[in-house]
Amino acid sequence: MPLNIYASTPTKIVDIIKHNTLEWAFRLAYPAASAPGKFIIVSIPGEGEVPISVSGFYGEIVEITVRKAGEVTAALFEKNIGDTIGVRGPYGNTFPIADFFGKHLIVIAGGSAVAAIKAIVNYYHTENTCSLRHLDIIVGFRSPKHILFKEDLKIWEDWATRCNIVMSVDTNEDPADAWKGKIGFVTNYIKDLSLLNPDSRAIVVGPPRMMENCVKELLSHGLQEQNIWLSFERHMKCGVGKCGHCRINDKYICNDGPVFNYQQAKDMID
Amino acid sequence: MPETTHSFNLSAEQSTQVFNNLSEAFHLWAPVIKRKGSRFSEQDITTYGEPASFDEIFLSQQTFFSPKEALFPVRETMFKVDGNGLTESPYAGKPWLLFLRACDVHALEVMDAHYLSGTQPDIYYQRRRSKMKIVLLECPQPFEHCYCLSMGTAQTDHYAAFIRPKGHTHEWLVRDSQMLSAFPFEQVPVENPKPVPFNHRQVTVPEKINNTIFNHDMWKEYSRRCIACGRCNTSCPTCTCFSIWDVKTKAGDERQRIWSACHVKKFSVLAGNHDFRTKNGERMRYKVLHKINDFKKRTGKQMCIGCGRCDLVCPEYISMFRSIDKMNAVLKESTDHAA
Repeated sequence: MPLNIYASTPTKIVDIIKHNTLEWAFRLAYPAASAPGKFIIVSIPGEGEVPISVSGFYGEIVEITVRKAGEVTAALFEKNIGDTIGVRGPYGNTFPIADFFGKHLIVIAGGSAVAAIKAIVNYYHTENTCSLRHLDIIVGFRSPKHILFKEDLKIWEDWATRCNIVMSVDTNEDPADAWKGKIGFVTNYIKDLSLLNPDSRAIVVGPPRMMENCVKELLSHGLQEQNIWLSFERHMKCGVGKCGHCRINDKYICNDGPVFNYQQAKDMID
Repeated sequence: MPETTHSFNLSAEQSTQVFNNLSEAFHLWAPVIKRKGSRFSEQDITTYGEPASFDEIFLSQQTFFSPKEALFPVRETMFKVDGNGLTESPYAGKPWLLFLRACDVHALEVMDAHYLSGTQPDIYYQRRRSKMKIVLLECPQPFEHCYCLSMGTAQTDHYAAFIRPKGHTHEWLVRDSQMLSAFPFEQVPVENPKPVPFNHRQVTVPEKINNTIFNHDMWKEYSRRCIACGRCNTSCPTCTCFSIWDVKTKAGDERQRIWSACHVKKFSVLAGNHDFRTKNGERMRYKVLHKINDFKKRTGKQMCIGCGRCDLVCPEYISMFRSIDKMNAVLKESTDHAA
């Protein structure tokens, strides 16, 4: 029988990590090879499907970090450890990990998009700690209560002297919150990176406007277009290049992306 | 012409007999008139459907909708929800026999290039497509909106049989040996299918689409005119976009795929409500450039087949054909400036 590309595999939830009320990580017993940058499609029969980027993979476990934003994710949040959901994938391409060896790498992410860079940061952290010259991570969240991966960020920060984390929130609406950190958009902190140089490499993931502004800022500091990488998020139904929703020009984000070099991405007009 | 081609000139009674024979083996899908089926009150519509008899096949007008539903139904069950899992929907039934004009055969090839390409063919399309045969229809005269000669879609060699009305009789060519038993008649020579002699409209598709076109103000006009009804998408024989929804039916929960249209609101909206192409002119640009540039870049095949159905169905009289011509003017202007 021919393979049905829309069929999903019943998969057990083995752990749930609740970052806050709206953003949870689900660890799934899904032994498929993944790599930083890829995504899977989660299926809740009777509710629907949703694409989610892989935030980590540990042997036979795939981790996704989900923001409760629609009907399917709401249904996923009703699930418990031990429950079964459907999974297909992983889909998409990956960040060019080896190209960054020996380089100064800047990773910039906003909000839920931090899930999309967690896997590549963990790669350099756990598997290949000496492969980069230096790693700067700039992460931004809407407000202190929206901060994700607090534990991971702490571990990354402790990563000897090779990693520098800048964390900022757009606003702090809650006066009771004792936020002592930075307030402002991620773009503002690029110029302060001490190792920033024209040979630096950069990964930018987040809302379109944020990516656009970050790229502008990076280019103004002399970074080469071909050294900037973006990961795109688009509405997607099938994940396999058929439904058409994620198409930009002649590219399907699901098949040809979601990771694009800026030289290519700059000509992709929605 | 391949040696195996058989040719006939049949009376209405004989063609009816052929029709009845073919109906036993095939599900026929041909241009028919649906009485009072038009968007206008009390008016008929020519569209694709299942003819009940040979004389219901209506060959003298272009169909309002394309034949694509035969391969890509408006709503198709992909899976039955089965407790915590999914069961693939079964597909059985007779193979389909499609009566198509040359342009619509090219449209089928566009759909093939999309759905069957790469290492991951779409099984829902494939299982219908693999059992399908084509009867080619000839266009002796051009229809009002077509520009098939400009798009290179006026001719095809991809057919199992061919039919041409000739006075009170019909000429047939049969190339598919499995269909031959439906024609227990004496052979006579029949001329090969001919392309339409001329079109009322001609256009040159610009070769070098660049960002001048993508960012040009020409698309703003369509923001004022387009009402985002999606009729151009639904009538287009090569629009293949769909959404996947889990829906509750009387027969239980199902995962269905349902047509989706890039001109219609929410085609690209993300969870959290971030949207792309909120202006209708941007959607026009997105569709038109897919049809004449982006798809070709990917597959080598032009997506627009020049049938003109989108121009015919638009309630705002927006013309895809004119937009191609406008692009030529824009490109000429930009080259003149550069020179």
